[in-house]
Amino acid sequence: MKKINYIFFLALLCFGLQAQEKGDVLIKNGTVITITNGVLENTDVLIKNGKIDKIGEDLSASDITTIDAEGKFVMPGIIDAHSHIALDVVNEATSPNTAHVWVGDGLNPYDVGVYRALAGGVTISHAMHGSANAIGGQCETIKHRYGVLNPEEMRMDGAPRTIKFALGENPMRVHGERNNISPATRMGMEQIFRNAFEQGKAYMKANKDYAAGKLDVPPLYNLQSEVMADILKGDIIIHCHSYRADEIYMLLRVLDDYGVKKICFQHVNEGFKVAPELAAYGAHASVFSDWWAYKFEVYYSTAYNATILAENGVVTSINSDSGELIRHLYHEAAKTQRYGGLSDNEALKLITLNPAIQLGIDDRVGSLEEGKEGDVVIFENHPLSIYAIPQQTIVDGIVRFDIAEDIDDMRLDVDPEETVPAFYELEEHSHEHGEDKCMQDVYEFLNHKH
Amino acid sequence: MKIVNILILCFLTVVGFGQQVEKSTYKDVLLKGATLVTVTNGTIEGDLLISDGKIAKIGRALEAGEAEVMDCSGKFVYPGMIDGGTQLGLGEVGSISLTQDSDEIGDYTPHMQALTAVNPNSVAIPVTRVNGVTTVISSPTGDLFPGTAALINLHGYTPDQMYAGFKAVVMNFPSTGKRGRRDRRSEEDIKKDSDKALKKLKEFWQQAEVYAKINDGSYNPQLSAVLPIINDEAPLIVNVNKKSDILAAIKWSQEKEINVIFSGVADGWRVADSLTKYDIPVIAGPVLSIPSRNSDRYDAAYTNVAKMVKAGVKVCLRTNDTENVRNLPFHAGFAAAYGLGVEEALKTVTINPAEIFGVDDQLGSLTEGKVANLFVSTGDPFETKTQIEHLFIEGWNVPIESRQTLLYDEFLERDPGADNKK
Amino acid sequence: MKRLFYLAILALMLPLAAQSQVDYDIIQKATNKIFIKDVIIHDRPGSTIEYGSILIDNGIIKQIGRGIAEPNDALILEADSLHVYPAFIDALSHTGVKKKEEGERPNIKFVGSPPNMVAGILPHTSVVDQLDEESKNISSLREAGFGLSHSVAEGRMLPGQSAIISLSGKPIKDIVLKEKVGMYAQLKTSPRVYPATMIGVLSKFKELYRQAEGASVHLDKYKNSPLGMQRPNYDEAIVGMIPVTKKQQTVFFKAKSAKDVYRVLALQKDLGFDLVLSDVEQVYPVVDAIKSSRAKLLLSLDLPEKPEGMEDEEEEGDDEESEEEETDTDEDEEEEVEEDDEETMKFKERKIEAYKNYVSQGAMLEKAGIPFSFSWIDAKPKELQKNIQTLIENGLSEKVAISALTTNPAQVLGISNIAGTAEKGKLGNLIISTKPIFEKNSKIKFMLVDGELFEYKIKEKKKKSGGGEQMDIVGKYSYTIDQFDASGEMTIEKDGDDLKVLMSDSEDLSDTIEGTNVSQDGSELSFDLSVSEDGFTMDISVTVEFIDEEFEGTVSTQFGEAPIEGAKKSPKQ
Repeated sequence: MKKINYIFFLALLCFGLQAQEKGDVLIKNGTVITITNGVLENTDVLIKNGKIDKIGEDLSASDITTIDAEGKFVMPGIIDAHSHIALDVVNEATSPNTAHVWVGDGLNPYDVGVYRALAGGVTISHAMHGSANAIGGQCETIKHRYGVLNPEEMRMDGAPRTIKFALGENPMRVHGERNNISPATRMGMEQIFRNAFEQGKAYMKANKDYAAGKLDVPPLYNLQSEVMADILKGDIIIHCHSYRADEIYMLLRVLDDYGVKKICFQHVNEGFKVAPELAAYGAHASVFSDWWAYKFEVYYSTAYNATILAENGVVTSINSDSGELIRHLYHEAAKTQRYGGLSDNEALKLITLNPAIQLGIDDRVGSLEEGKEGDVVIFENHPLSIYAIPQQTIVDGIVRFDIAEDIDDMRLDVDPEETVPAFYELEEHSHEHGEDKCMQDVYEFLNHKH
Repeated sequence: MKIVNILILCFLTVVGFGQQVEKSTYKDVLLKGATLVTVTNGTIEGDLLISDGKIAKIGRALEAGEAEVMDCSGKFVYPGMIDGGTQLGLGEVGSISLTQDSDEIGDYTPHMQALTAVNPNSVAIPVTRVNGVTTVISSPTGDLFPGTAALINLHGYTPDQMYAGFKAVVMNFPSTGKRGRRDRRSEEDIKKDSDKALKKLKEFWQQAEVYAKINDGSYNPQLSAVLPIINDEAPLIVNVNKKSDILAAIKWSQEKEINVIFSGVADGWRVADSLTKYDIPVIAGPVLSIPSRNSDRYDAAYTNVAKMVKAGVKVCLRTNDTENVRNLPFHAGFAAAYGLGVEEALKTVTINPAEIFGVDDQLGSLTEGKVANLFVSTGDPFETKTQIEHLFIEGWNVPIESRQTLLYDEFLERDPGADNKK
Repeated sequence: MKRLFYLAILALMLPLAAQSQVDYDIIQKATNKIFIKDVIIHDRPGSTIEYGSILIDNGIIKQIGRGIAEPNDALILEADSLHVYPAFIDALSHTGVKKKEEGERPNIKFVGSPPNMVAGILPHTSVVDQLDEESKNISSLREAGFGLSHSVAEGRMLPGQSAIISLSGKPIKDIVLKEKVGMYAQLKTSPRVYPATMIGVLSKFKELYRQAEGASVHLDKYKNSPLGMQRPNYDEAIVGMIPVTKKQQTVFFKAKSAKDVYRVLALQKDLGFDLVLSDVEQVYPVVDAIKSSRAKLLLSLDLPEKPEGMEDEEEEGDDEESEEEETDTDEDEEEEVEEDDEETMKFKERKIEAYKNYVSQGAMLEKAGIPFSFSWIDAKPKELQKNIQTLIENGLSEKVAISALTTNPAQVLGISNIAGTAEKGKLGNLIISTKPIFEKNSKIKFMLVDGELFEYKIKEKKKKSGGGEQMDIVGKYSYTIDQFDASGEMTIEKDGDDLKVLMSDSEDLSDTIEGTNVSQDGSELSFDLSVSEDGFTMDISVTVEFIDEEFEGTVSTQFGEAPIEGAKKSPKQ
């Protein structure tokens, strides 16, 4: 029977679930954590055609998958504002400014990491370019529709464009230390941004002049300048890898000079030191729950960072930046209760509504409200309890993870020539060499001086 | 908690920021009216008297005598948690190699002493202990025989003050797995490398056995470091993860007739019966890690401990971490949730490691006569929101304070704020 | 054997000197006419002319059909009752292309903006400049039934424009049938310079395309009235892309995996160029997407190895397994246990499942009604026929297989008017085989390419199938590798149940090295050699086939391949 299940499930994954397919599901009698409207006991959630149709008591619908959630906790799908799963490429580390590249071109729907994230209740992640460059590539907000094979179908259609910036040691190391070109310092870093924004401004002007007939020929198309211009126009949200308070403050000043408002600082380990400034600018912060000391710029960190930021009015989220942490963001959020005593709802906001705000998708996801998308996770035990176990994870009304249906081997693509799946030793404390996931693909660069 | 913080804040303004100003105190303390989770003797509602660094007495309505009385009503007392494998104290800042002391150069360095290089003033030590982790194995890392690990208490100013009575040589059993996601070696290359390492192991052990037989006391730090293992006086800690490697390591240790403790053991659930059959204790973890194979169930690492314990293996946990050993209770909590149960999980971070390391007469439970390594909490220490309120290590009343709490105290309400005014 | 090392490097790395003008080694032909009579003509997919005849003059089919009078000024080909097919057209490969040397790279300060040459962005170049008629692939591909190749350069993101070449073996100027056929593109990165990643490649492609569109507007305007206008001065790579943006040139985009197919389709959707998905290896998950995209498709003839333990009539698998067990050392005993458990069985099942998907792709495409042709970037010419056979065994019809080798590639490459079928006026590129081409044991007896006739020995295989009887090849042989200008002695000895091969060099017969991984399969022998010099090791693998007391085959090294041949030495020698 198990085998039949297995084959059926695979067949379902491969052929049944297409594209932006939307599902219907009725979740009965759960403790519904809405995030925006309190906790509702014994409540049903009806998802129709991928959207939350109704939240209330004694809902019914005919001919619909029904999940009994009695004694269970129903919350919005978890959103990770910083991840690198489902990506074949993370870093195009060849220039301090690679605004022209886009990780959305390199999505990998076969990554079993997506399934593992689903098993941790995560329905949406922000697949980011790495931090090798001051201005990295554009990122992609993806929905965890594990089972679709077309990379295009991983995208969250209509989500705002985002781009990765990076400050501090990583870009300094890659460009200054390796290639002996600027930026080698945090001073040089500032000028990279100013130059890039000026480049975008000049490009916009040239195009405007051409449109107004002041030029005979259009300026030579330049993808990097296009992207810089779009940032200046407010079409792209910046997500900036950063650690130290001084560099965070620097970028705020630069952005202010160019009138760029949409900024979310990532990691931002010393954000707590400039929390009032971040709040005043309206900047957001997406942080680790407790990572620190893996390099010098995170030595003066504190696990109370999220709490301090939140208490100072900064829209804050907890992210993973890791294929491991993404599996238990609910636990990472709970750490703000140990370190700073946030309330349940404040803590859960850090992995639902707040990351949704940071990605510009809070009108569609991040809370359980009628009309929002049917991204839901059902927990055994309260999600902030260490004993919480995700039971089902639903994306657009389709159950993509069900603990009862889980089979061992969830790979979507099998190489007919491999012998057995490779065994990976635990990477001895991957932070030991100061390489977070953000530096993926850069390793080879650092090793080969040309 | 906030009140406590405000008090600390007031205190700080007097002495300035950045120093570990609140000192530990050493006097007799009576923990009154607590729920005592003894681990080995059930849960007792009662009092616990700490005297002269030891748990002097456990019972109801104990007389305080000279002891300071600490009202613990509604609170819980647990034995300090023990992490079976870390690099705590051996590394300070990950990316800066000159602050890294766990990995000496050379294949055969069993004589390298972790205890020598543990920095008692590492910023990570207070960060760790305020979560109730009082004792850890600090272990060298690297090649075939990276060195000798030591069990240390997370309090004290010299290695000798910290030493908790157990040392063991560590060996990395030659692996046939990939070293990580970046390892591009082909299957054949991996096999070749592992065969090479097995040959090295064979040669080294051969020499060690000869050295033990000759027994002339000649100066040979490499070989003399493993003498206690050959002489059956100490166990060898063997890092091994993959199923076929575990089986090979069992075979090897049986042939050599030595006592081993396996560490890591990611595939332990696949070979739990063999581990039971040969009575090999295991330091498992990290529990919070991704499965070793893409084809493994997503929760393979979460459930590994439960499956081994059910098969009868004696298991303790490790975080294999440096700066975040503080997460040990959460690793235990995940193991508990994924099949192990809270009671057994608690053992894997208290009495089990104490037994595995042969220090169960001193550590691992709330038992009269044992060392006073314990903490007072608002509840289950695995639960994330639980607060640790008091901490005792070898009877020292250690403040719940670390650089991370001090930064919180300074910056929660920063002065001057954004407007540069009070 | 050290000499062999140097000779091989010299021979494979240096271009050959040009041939002299007058060559009395070549026979001047008496006639350019060839008459093939009383053959079964498979003139186009699904159509047959029983016992017809064909007259070819100067490489062109002059007459074809029944009742053609036998001319008296033609070479008469004795081909009674043999089968004639239009020669196959290889829809994309590196046939005839010289191996590129990776020269010393210039020191680049800004690796984000490297020169086109270093970045591998060469849309303005043509594969014609890299052709070499001596390429071994030309003759081996011809032997496999091919008359034309669509050849693309090796390289990175944009290796250049492709060309159709005739596999006649004539000098380069005579083999190029059509230039600038298409633009070859790959998702291949440049090490340590932009684009160093696949997303960099896609971004660069988009930018280059948009720049070419802009440049094209500028160039046209300037052509009309240059007065007062900024002089167009564009990078040659940008200019090279203009024909693509104007849909004057099709992009042959290599996309091996399903993922890459999706990526290339998305790129095409974004930019709108004419697309031929090329050398696709994993097509089964993307059949629907390809169908709805209407992109043309070249299916790779590189198939995965059959997984071990997969049941088949020949039961080769069983033999291999038992061999392996014998060679296992004691230490692996525990591992063996692992191999047999339930989990491993499950992995095997999934592998076999995946393999079946790959080999049924031809049938899937046929069923979906998607026309396709065959290409082969990574396969070996010798495998092509076997792999087509495998696809047919797994459901692909012969008719569609033939189309994929003849009419479809002709259509995709825009040469339907001259090639792809056997009809009057078209190229007289023909296969003449002993039986219907895909029938078991069918052999190619003649190939006609561009007026040149090639005859092949029909090898009597000494019981190869069944895996049972091994040919007795023990003895001393002389060998020559012309391309390395090397020769020497090869000794094959019995070593228990196995064979031992010793190779020595004629300059110094004592300098002998022993082959490793020696294996014999019927009349075929293969082994590896490893020659080291100055810390540099050259790995050579040798595969030869014995016919009576002679052998011929190939030696391949990391620099390239070369033919090897030899014969048994008489006992006196």
